[in-house]
Amino acid sequence: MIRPPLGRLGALFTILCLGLAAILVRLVFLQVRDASAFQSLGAEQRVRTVDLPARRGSILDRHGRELALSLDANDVYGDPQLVTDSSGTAERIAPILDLPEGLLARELARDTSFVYVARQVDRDVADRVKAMDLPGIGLLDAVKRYYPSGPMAPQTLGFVGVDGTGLEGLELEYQRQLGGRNGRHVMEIDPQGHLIPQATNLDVAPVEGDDLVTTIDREIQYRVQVALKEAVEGNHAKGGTVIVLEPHTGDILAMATYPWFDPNRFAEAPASYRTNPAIVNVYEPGSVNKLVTISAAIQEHVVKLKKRMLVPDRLWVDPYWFSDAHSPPTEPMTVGDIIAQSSNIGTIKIAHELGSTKLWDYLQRFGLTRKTEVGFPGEVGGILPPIGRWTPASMASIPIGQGVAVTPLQMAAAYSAVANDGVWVQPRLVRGMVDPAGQFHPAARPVSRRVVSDATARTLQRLLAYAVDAGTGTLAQIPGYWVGGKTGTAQIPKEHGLGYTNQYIASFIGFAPANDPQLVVAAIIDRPVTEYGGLAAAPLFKDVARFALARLRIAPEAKPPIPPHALSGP
Amino acid sequence: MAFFLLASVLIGSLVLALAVVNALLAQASFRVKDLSDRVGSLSQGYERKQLRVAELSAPDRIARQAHRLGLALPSSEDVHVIEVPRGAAAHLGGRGRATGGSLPEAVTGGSG
Repeated sequence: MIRPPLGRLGALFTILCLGLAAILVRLVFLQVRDASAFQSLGAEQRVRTVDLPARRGSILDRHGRELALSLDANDVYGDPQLVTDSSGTAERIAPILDLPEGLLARELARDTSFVYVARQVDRDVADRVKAMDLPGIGLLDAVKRYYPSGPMAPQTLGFVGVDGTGLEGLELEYQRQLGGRNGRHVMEIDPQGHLIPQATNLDVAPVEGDDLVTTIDREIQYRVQVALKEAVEGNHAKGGTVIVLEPHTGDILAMATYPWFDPNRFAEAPASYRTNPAIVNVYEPGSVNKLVTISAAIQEHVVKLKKRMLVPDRLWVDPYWFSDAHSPPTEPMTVGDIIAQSSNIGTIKIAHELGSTKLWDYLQRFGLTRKTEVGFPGEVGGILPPIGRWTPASMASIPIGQGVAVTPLQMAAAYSAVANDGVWVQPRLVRGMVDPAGQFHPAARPVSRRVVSDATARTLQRLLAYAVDAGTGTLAQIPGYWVGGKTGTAQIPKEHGLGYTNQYIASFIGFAPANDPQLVVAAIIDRPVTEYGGLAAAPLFKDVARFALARLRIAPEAKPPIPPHALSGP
Repeated sequence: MAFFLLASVLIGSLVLALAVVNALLAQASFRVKDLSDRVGSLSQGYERKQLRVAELSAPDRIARQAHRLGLALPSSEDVHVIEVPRGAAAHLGGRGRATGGSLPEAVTGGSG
């Protein structure tokens, strides 16, 4: 009898058991331990997610006209591994996409599976590329930003990058509201790239961005830009800025800086052209700052309007001599004369009677030491040394607007407070948003605060009107209207080291009609050959204000015949 | 035989009904796709027209067209202001204060 080979059978059984155990262990590894990793790997291979870009909201002027809007477009891409003839492909699509053929051929021959051929291509152009049905060339959905008026308030509106994100200005500040929310299309494809029927096919619709309604009036903005360009070029100046404000509401009707750029081609513009100096840069305002000094003096009853004071042609304030631009002979002047003639010495004497603490207090009240919070990226507050660090010379320079730096918007808002009968209203660039359903959501009411009394403000209105009637601002007179305002001719500080250059910033900030101000215009010219605010900036003010008054349908009215410097004040 | 015939007719009818339902569903689906494409195309057309209107109504373009037609903004010297007696302007519907009531009461006269 042959005995069964128990040893071999046992060994075979053991081997089978070990084999099965190994398979079981591997199975546990695959199905339990690494299951999620393999699932994701599988999903990566067959699931494709395509972003569906949300339509970016438009930017509108105060009357609902488009200043910026977005249209559907396409990105054209290439897969060099699928491109059969890179030179031939480049030869066919380069002229359509306005690209250099050689460069395109090199891109399509790269050792990669994805290259952008062109971004944000108009739909009709993209359709022509699609119609060619070239292997390895495809289209992706995109959105393109258009600025239909070209260089219209470009530093204020800002611009958008190729990825659809705001990079500057209101486009950046309101990115969240304008941008909306991208959607996505999820689908499963087979190894050949075909859609798998009955598999996952999910669409999450994009949410459109809100439209932004600004306070800008397109017609006034255009006229401001024309006048500003003429003024800068006519004065052979380096540049200039103009702001038009509604004093009662704080609405900025126009804000322009020259030189500007076309936001449709922002990449071609120097970086310095793209910022908005009206809000993000400070300058020493010069004599326009006398408004604050005189306001404080009148409000605090430091000066009597009828009283004449002896104003010497120069004054020693340790360690400098201060003088007037025209060095008039020593003469008795009223406050009205001091404002009208823009007397540095007269203003310094009034400031000394007022005292540094009160001057500091009023500089703060007029908002010259903090941001206006207008809602703009990169806004800066003024630069004013803390009162503890003021020297005797500070009490001579700061009252006349040197040794203090503010943004043009801060100074325009200060004049706006006087024009608004003593109430400072926060300037604003945005009136509200329109959601995709067409519902208008107004912006929060601007902050306001009283800075001087109604009586003081009305007195200042008349004093500033006198400066235009018979002072340094005569070139700002507008036929048929009573205008108030103040000239400024500020020396520009040296970039390195102490002291000043012999170059000037000329400005004129004023309002009209002086007896019931409806608008404030700040005109600032950087380094004009004519130097003086009364010569370079006042005519610019006049040009802008004349148009804006007509545009706002403010009727002409005869001005009072009597100069106001002799009026009895508080 | 009758059972076989009845079963064939029933099955045939069911298959036919299924095919018809499927065809109708497919047709509806194609129609939805067509309408969806049409909505997309019309939306794009609308947006393009919106852009075109914005471009055509841009102040810069209007000004250039006006200039070409010989129109220009008058200079200050060319503007003649007719002084309307105080109070009369109110009847013209202007926004400015025209009653004279806002004249500064504190003005007492003087020279300057």
